[in-house]
Amino acid sequence: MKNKRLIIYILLILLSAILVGIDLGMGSIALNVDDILRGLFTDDQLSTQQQTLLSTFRIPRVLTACLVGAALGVGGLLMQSFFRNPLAGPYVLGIGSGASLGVSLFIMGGSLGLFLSTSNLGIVSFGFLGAFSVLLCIGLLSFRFRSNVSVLIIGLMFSYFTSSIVSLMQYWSHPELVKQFAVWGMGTYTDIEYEDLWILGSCVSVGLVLAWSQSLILNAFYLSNFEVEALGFSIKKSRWIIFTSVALLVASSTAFCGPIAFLGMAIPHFARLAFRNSDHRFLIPQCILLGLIFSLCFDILSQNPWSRSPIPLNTISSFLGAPVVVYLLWKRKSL
Amino acid sequence: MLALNNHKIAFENRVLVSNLSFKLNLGDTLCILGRNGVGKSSLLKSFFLNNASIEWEDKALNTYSKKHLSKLIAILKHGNRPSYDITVEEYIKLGRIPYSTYFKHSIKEDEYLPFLKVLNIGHLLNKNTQYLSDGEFQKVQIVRALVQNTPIILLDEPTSFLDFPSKVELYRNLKILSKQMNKIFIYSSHDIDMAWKFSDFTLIMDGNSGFSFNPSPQLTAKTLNSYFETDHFYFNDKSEYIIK
Repeated sequence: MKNKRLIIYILLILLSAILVGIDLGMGSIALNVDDILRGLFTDDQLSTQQQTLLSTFRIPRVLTACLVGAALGVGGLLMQSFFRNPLAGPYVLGIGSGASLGVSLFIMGGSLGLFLSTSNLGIVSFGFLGAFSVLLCIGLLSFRFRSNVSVLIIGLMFSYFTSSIVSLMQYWSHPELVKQFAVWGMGTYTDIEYEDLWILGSCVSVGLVLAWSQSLILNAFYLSNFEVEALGFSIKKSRWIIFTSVALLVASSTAFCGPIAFLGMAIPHFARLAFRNSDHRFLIPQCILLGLIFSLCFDILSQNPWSRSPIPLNTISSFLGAPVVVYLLWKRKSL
Repeated sequence: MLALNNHKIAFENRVLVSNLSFKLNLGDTLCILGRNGVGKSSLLKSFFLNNASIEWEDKALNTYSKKHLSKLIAILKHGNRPSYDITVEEYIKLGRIPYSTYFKHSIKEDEYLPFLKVLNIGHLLNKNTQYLSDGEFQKVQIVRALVQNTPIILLDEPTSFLDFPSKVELYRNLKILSKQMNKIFIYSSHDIDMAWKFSDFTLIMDGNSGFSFNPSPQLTAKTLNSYFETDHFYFNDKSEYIIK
């Protein structure tokens, strides 16, 4: 069993390396394996155009795909385990909707006379602002509630509340801005620059470390709340750490890349089914690995190797991802 | 030795029980009876919440750290199946969390095999907990609590979903385990016709700060009737219940 798991690990790591290579080659101008290897590992000259392409666009895009895949996979796992609800995902706390509200305020607020510019940095900071204000509200409200279900419902209510404001803004806005916001909502890994990558990378790393620090209490959550407390944990304390971790993971990835459907909800199920494991000390790395693999696959397909116009990321991820989850559940039932 | 000294439980300003005092030694079992809402679960939970008037080895429980308490008292609540695939072995392992670190969370076979043997569920070890029967899962939960290796184990209505033969088996097992392993078991129950016949002591509460604490063999039909008799049934002289 242990050896089998090790082999799966090695195969998946190899697979992710191959996917990174393929993804680097994907885009408006294809690069072949030789170009990529030379560009990455030697001082040989590629043509200036190819060099720029690789270092300014492709590498940041591929790193973003990896980071966001890992972030959403682990964010989804935390929420599913914490709420003991297989339908939960990284967006259930309303943190993703908070980010959407922030971004919509920034993009479409302009037509209401609020803001003038539409810089990338503005989108990101407003995304963060929105996400963390929702986290703060939920954190403060959750002091009043012992029950996790109440917190879950409050999170859902936040989503409805923010989406009503967003749709009102869409209704009032200039069509062009509405389109810009809609494009953000379809998800993309392409608009990231190196400076942004630092912010995304550090948010995701801190989030992942916080998540792993809670792996033992997350294991305890297979039991009832009272049994968790009797194992020596404080649910209220770790609720804060878990929520902060999810907020960092979700806020950073949503602000930069838009809400990415499917990954967060499905990756934890994949990890549980593929590795037949329930221990979060291993589930978290497994979700990171599977998250970045799926994220890379979706990015490769969204670059659309068959034609010149890319397909929105969310279209791909939901279209291909949903049947895979159904298939896995189908297989499990027959066991 | 476990001692409650003038213990009091209130729920939303209503005093459920007060001046509750008794002592239990290692190897004792206590059965808590009472109708719905009299505070049986609250009493068990109070071991972790307002535990200043509960003493272990002459030290109040609120002076113990949470970590220390987790090696002193285990609690189990019946009916909480995990929402995810987890094997019996992995589930049992959860009981060792107080003794684990991030890099070492293992359990040796001799830490749980004896319990599996006593409860006769060795063959379930690699099964998914979601596919067990209620009776089987109940036993797995007990093993989970046993490997936590605490002198005190609290069980909140452990028989509520079990069929009659499984109930008898469970009560008998609790009695055997408490003597064999020198542990204190405290369980709440609605089986007023038999749960107390397997315990050393019985506590009956009325939810109105009234209670009676007796060694189980001395529990009389009169006491039982004073708490449970209705228009429809009563206990006869042999403490058997008779439907009117």
